[in-house]
Amino acid sequence: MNGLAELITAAKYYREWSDPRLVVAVLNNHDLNQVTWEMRAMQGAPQFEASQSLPDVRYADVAQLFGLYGARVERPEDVEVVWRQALAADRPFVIDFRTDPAVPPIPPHASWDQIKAAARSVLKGDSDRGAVVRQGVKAKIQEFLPGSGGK
Amino acid sequence: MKVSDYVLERLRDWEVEHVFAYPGDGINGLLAAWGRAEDRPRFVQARHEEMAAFAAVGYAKFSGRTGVCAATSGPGAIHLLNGLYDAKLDHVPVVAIVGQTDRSAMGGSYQQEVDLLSLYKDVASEFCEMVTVPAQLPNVLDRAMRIATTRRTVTALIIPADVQELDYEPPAHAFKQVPSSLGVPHYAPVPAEEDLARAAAVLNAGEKVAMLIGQGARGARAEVEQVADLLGAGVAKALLGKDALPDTLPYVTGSIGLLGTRASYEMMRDCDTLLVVGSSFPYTQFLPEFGRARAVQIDLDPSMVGLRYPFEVNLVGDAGEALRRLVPLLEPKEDRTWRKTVEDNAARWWEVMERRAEVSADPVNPEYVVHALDALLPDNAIVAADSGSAANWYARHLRFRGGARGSLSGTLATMGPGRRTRSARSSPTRTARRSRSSATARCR
Repeated sequence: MNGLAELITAAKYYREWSDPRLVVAVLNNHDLNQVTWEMRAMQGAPQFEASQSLPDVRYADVAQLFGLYGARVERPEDVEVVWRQALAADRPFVIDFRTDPAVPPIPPHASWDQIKAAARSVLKGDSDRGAVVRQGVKAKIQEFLPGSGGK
Repeated sequence: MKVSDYVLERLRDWEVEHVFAYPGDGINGLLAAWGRAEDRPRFVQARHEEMAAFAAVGYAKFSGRTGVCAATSGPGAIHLLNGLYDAKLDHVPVVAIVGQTDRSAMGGSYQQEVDLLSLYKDVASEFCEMVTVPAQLPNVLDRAMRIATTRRTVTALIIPADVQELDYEPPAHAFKQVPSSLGVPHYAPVPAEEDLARAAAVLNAGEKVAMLIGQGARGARAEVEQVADLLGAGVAKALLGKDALPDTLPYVTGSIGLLGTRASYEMMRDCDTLLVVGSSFPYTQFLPEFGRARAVQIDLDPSMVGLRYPFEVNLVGDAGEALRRLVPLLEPKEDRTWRKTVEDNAARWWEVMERRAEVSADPVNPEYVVHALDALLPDNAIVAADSGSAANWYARHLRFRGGARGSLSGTLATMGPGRRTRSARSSPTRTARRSRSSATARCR
């Protein structure tokens, strides 16, 4: 949230920059996501909503309030378009990407134990539940698709 | 000329262009001097001292120069600390200048009086001094700059408010006076020849060589490529060294560790020889199993070398200088089977990334967000990632090309630094990536 306040600093100084482009991308998933995943993977603990859930903030609107550009992206087809707009803008640009907290940062060695731990936590009543299992399996399966060498 | 005028003059002499700061009455003397000096060096105003410190750290990380930040006594000095620890743990040079209550109030349980020498004792363990008489300057400022720069760490100067207002008097040619001079000469330490020979013997004996590079290899791109080619090695990158070598080289396996790639993981698992250049990557479990690989390390810092892994040969020296001296001692590996395996795994990883980005999600897949940026990222971009799940996608989906730069809070893994204040001295596109999903120590 300190970063949000520093948008004011960017708004104060960007006119003096030799290149005024500064793109701030917020992966707005309403979750303190990395810690949530660690809890799932390491303790098999369900998500503790009181600590992990984050309020939705209209980051792009805040940027505009400060005199910067901002856009909220809620559809995959808008992602690239808005990146291009932001990279070509004449001032700092905040992109509020509404992203999915259920996309797992599967580690490179992706042990099945960890995936199971995640599943256990979901069964114990994790609020993301079905979405988490679905997303984890979908992402992991990509490594084993034909054409990727198979292993 | 007051002490405060002299401090700013000396900073200008050190070619300091910006001071990232937040004001307060403990540095009012300095602020008044800034006004008299027509804002030279430039006072860059953050919204909070912690962010001023991050701005100084970001400046140091991306410019290769020494960052300077300033804050008032008591609460201001306390707020700087987290940003300063980011510099200390990631080994970049930052000097903090902080105010203090008047000397006459010290020890009086006075308003905003905090024992700053004790508070800064750890973060500025290499050098932390209080200016109590004008003739300590320029020596203590020169030492703060020189020690921060050469040891790539944090130093601090505490200047009580009333001292800032004293008339400046330089040190005299007399007992108990310490004159000083400017500048840090260029130098690059070189390993001893016998150590280079021992290192070459280990590397020549191996058949499957893996390299791990960190931020210490950033200035040695050509040498890293040459050595990797000679040894038929693949190269994995610690997160702070992500911009040390382009990801577009086929034998670069990308990031390593929990945030890393399967290609790096497999290379470390299967290699028989490991060469680490300029990295103190902390997670041993992602390096070869003990006894499986013989290992050589090159590090600039003799106090950091040998850490993290049972290395057989430790070379202390500048990465480029050490590698250049190693090259003539290396025998080119004729068998390229291992290199081919590494390249195939790396190529496969990027295909997997492509597919993971294509996985549908609700509403948007964060992997796709970063993957889409990868294709659009300018060659001269500067990318700052915050800590949290965003760091995963930064590590895995962005391929740096050309002179693109990137960094984050690598060792402290603190939240906050994704929005570092940019400096005015260079121009590439800044891209900061934050995640409302953050704040954890999983950033390697």
